[in-house]
Amino acid sequence: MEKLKTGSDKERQYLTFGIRDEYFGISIDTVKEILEYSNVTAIPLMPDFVKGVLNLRGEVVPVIDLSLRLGKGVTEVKERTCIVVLEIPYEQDVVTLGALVDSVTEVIDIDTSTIEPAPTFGARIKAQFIQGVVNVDGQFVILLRGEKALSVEELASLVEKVSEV
Amino acid sequence: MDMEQAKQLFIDEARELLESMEQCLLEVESGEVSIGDHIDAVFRAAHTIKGSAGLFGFDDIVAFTHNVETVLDKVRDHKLDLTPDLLSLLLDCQSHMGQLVQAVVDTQAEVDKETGSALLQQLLAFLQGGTAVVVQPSTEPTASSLPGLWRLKVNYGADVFKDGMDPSSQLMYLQKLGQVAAIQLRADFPSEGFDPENCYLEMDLQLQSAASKQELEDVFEFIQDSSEVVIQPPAEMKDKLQQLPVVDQPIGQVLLDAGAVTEKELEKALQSQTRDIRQDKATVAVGQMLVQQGSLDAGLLDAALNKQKNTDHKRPAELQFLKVEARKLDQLINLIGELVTAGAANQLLVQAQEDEKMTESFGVMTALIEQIRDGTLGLRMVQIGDSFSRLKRVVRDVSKELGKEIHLEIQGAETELDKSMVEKLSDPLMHIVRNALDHGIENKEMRLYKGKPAQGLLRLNAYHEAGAVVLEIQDDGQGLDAAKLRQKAIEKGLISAEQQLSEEDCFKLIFAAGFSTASAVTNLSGRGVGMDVVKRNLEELRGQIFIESELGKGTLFRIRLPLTLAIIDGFEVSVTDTHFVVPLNMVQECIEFSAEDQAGQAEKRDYFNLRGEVLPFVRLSELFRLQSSETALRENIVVVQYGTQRAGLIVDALHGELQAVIKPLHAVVKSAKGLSGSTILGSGDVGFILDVPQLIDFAIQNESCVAS
Amino acid sequence: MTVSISQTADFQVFGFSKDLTIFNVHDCLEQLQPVLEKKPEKVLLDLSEIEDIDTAGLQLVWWLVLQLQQQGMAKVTGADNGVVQRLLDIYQFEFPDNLE
Repeated sequence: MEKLKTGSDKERQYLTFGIRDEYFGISIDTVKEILEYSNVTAIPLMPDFVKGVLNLRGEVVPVIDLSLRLGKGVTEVKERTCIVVLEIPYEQDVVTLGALVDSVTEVIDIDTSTIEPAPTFGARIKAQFIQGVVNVDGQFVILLRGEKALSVEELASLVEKVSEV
Repeated sequence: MDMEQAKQLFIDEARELLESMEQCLLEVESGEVSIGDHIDAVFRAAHTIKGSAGLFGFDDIVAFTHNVETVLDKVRDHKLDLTPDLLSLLLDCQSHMGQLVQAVVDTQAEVDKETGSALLQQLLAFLQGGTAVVVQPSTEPTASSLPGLWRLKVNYGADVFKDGMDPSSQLMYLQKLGQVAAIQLRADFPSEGFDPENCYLEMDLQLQSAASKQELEDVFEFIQDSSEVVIQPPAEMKDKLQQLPVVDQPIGQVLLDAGAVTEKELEKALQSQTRDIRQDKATVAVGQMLVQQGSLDAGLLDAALNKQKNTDHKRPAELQFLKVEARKLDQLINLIGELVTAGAANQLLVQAQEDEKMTESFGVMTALIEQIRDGTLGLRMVQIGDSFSRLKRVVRDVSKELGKEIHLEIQGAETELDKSMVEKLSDPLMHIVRNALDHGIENKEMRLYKGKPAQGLLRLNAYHEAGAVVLEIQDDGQGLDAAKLRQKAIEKGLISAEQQLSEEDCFKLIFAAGFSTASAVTNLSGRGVGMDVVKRNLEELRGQIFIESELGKGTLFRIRLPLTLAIIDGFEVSVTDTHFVVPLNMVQECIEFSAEDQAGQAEKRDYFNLRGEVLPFVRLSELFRLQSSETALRENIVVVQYGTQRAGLIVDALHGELQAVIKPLHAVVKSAKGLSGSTILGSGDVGFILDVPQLIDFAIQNESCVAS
Repeated sequence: MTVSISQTADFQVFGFSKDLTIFNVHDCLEQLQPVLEKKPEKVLLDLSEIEDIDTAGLQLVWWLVLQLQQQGMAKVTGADNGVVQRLLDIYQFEFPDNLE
């Protein structure tokens, strides 16, 4: 039987964004919208990575500091700071979550065959968060797995641990 | 409608029917009504479930229910006595049917096959035992019904003789069914071309018989295709028709049930009707069609139609209910929530305009929005009665199992509360009731020894009180022993020996996880699980539970619940930039916490002198680690009450009352302390709804820390 | 022969033999047809010899009587024969008689 090749017709769209001096990408399928950073209300007694909640047309959506989640320190809110609103599977449903990023770059088409496996070391990011790495015009972009990097179960249990103290 | 939806409809319907079946059987068992009043409803429930299950090919349900139906049919026809044993068996069968239906929804659900076959065995035993005393259902006229004068008209088909039939043998058979009063034989011979092998005969016959129409029709079964057979029921049928219970059914079914027409006749009438419709002819009602066919005389049809008119009168009551998909209702309620929020936002703008006319006009709209809100929320309100009724079964089963005699008294069944709440209430209610039956009410000997009536009393009550629903579960059992409870909690390490507890707090220890009071572990409770679920579920519903108990006299559980889970009246306060909402029904008063008060607190204390009463308080800024702006010269105390406990919440600013649409906390942050939900304020910002009971606990802990 | 045709006084007598059922009504009529065409004025239909009769047989006799009575007198005799009488009882039937 002929082996199936991951041909160039296997293109996927990714939203790329910057956190600190690194570039990340996330599949466009999980992205609901992108907002400028404003009107985030802090929730009392929350760990730092929970930046607060946001009124998204009547829905109260928590905003997570993705930089902290990736082990890169607190995001300082600046002019270009954005909230990427994502839909993350949870139980039988999907929930909406906001991810704080330094800047949103663009939406790019990525040929899935060019995605390299995540380096086992060096990135200092939990390997399970990463789908792979891709080289876009000489720039490395780390593609994230939204459902892992922002796993609702994991975030919730972290919050619970903090509020028990 | 796709298959899944249809299946869901079946499940909903089956559950409803099973519930009504259970209710009817329980009412019969309690002696409130006789089986005669309910057998039709019970039979119909089983019959409908079987029928619908058949459509979906749920063979297990069909097979089991068929036997139940057969037994019910015998009971209905007075061929089988409804003994207490049979009643009990039917209730067990009802439970089993519930399991079978559940298995459709949840493939994981276990169906106890052994129980099922054991029940079937018992049903069959009743059926076999029953037939011995049953009048043989045969061609013999049944003794119970009086013979009436039937009119039969037979127009024999030409080929009857050639087909090997002899009408005389049919007549001889008819004579076995009754007394032939008169026969007129006529012949319609042709003027020319007589063929002796053709049959030209017609017959009019009057028969005095108690046989059913079906039985008479069967006599002519073999010639029916070639001949015309018209059977007119006797005038007595009219009386029989009038005696039938009023049922909400089409006329054809009414006549069929009464035995005035046979299925074949009805089918024929319906076919003619369909044919007429196809040919665009003026259609005739089925009843009329049957008269035209000669199956019925006009008088009888009138009687049946009258019967149907009766059912028409009954119909509106049933039509007063409209089944609406719960999802649609939820969507509507969400929208109303948005409307309320948008209204609040507009109010801020209108106030800023200071335009009198605009303010006035906006005021009218606000009032309307409030009415719409209340009306919409009202749509979700259901009577608590159904939940109480479900407990009837629990009481019956448990008291049987424990061998205790218990009388259940229900009050306020018509009290309404939110449907979603009813669902979440069923577990807590069940546990409290079981606990009362198991641990509360003593066994018969003990009761008699104590000078109490042998029959224990369990009272369920519901009523509305100041924007809340109150449920009470009261028993006249042995009561709770505060000292014993405390001792046990210490033994179990749930509290420390030094910890001081009020009497009610001691009672509430029974809700602690891993706490069980019965020394003998029974099948029902006493496993140490359950009562802690009660507290948790009630907290989820923002409900409160109070316990009153007197040793030897009994215990009263009182549950207070908000009327709805969707929107609350709240009081908005803020600490620095964070806004909080306190449920208005818990707010007692607001007091300025003046500079002098603060000055008077030279040493830092966490209590406050409220008109001579010591009031513990929490400073929200400290509790929530919000940096209080140094410039806030004035602080305020919101005095909140939860149960019998009061505390003060110190906040920066008071913003007044508002309607808060409750948004449950997001999955990620649901463990947030001191908060029970969030809401969107008029400004568009997010505010947090305070979990008052938890805050009071904080305050009291702080106070006791200071005291000790 | 299923029917014997004889003359008694001024009556023609149709004497039916032991069976008169769906199996021989056709033959009977065929046999009687030439007689009928002569339009006899006085006929007796004798059923006394009949041992087996069914409704088809009864129908034939009835038809014959009606036909004959159109042109003259006709009477059924011997119907008190047990087998015939039983069938007539079932139908509560009497053959028409225009002799008197």
